[in-house]
Amino acid sequence: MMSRIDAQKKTNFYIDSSRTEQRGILRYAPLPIEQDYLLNVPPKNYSPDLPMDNESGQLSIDFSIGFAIFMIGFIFVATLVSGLLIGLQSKTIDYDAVAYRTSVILGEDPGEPRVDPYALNPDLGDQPWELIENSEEITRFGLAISKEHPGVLSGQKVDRFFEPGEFSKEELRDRLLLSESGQYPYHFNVTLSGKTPVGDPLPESGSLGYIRRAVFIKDYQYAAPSLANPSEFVNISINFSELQSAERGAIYGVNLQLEPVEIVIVNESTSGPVNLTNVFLTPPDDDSFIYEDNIPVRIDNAGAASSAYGLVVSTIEADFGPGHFSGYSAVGEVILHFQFNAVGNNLDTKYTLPPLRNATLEVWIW
Amino acid sequence: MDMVGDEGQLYTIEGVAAAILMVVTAFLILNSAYILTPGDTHISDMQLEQLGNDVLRMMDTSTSFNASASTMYDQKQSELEKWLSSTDPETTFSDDFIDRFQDYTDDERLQMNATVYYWDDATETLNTFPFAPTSSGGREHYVTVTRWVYLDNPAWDPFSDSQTVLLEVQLWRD
Repeated sequence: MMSRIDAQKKTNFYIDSSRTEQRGILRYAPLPIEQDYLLNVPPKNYSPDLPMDNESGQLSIDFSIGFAIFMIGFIFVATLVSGLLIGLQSKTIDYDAVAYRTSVILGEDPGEPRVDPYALNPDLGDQPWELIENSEEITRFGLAISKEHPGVLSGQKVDRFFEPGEFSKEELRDRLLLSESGQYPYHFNVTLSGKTPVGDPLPESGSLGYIRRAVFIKDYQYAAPSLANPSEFVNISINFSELQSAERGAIYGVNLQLEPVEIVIVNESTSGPVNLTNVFLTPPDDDSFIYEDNIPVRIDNAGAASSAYGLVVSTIEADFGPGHFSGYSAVGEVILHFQFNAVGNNLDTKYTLPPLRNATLEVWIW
Repeated sequence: MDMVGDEGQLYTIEGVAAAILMVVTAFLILNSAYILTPGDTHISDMQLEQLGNDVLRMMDTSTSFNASASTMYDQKQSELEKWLSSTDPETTFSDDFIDRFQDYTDDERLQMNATVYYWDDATETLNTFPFAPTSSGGREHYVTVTRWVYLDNPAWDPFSDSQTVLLEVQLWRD
């Protein structure tokens, strides 16, 4: 008699010969083909009495497909969520990086156009941005004196940059490289100690990029010793050859072509206001010779400088713009003479640059 | 005749699915956590480090030109150079240094600990001047900023040699 297995191989059916013989009927038990051929053994759940309807060992195709779809969906969503988080996080890193970049542009760069103070053969026609009236000709703002002195800001550049209403927000954003085409336009706020902040008002909440830099500011206003007693005159020596000497460099010297010269005299006289009659420039050795007469001055913080002199209650301010003294470089030294209608101690002093002033520069970006 | 159960099949697939789920979950958690943690401390470290470097550079820049000095070095001698060249920098230096640091940064919470590395000619070894920390409290997070300072004949050097010393400052906020 053919064995069960042999029979199975041939017919793919089990023929239970004993029962067949007993009952006189043939009973088939269909079998899964793969199990049949792979295992080559009779299925365990084969029962001679019952059809093989218990297939719990099999993984249903519905379940497999459902599970696969779920897994694909889950992985997709999970990837998407972590991607969203990365995006949120990198935004603040990005803001901080832009804040740092802006602080470097402002604090370590002289801007563009610029004039190199150490150029061997400077072109006298070149103008740095702080002297250019038309803001469209300014390419980039930068407050440093020169590339050689990062962190030392020019008082002149600081004054122009932070002057309220001098530049529009769009100009500032554009020249600080915060709005390149195709880029996200950043909001910004720049603060320097003692100056009105420029840019957008800081938001109440939200993530901000921030950096604080410690800087020096090179001022150009010389505060002469104040008038404690009535004086007949005050002589202020301006020594060009000393101020422009090579060893002073850009920080401690004055470039007469590009930098202003300002002098302030404070009246602290106990006898009240002093009567200013004339202000003129003269050589150091001969005060009868006059280079320039009736020099306009601002008295008591008046709006504009004028040569209509008179009583001075608190201050006299003589402002010489950049280039005013360029013609005098060959002379070496001049005396700025303030003549008062009084008799008393005369004051002889010398124009010196004020010491570098420390300040903090803060930049917010969002 | 009883045969061995074939439920093993189902268990295997469940096991594999569970394993995949767990691995994917663990991977996602680790991955997202790894991205989220470094952000803040890294940036604030960078900001403090930049501020420290700014201040050291400012201290090493003279605020005014000394026209009466004879050499160019003396004409532009910075505060830091003066302090570090003084006879006994260890005792005279630290208070001014800390005050100046807080003043320049406009930050009273700033604390520091400074060390100067120099070459000791007498013993021919690398030596240090340690400075007292501003507070001995627990500091868990600090940044280090350094600056090389050139000293022209410092007073503490018995042989009056010039040398460049390394100033190392550890900075942290209270």
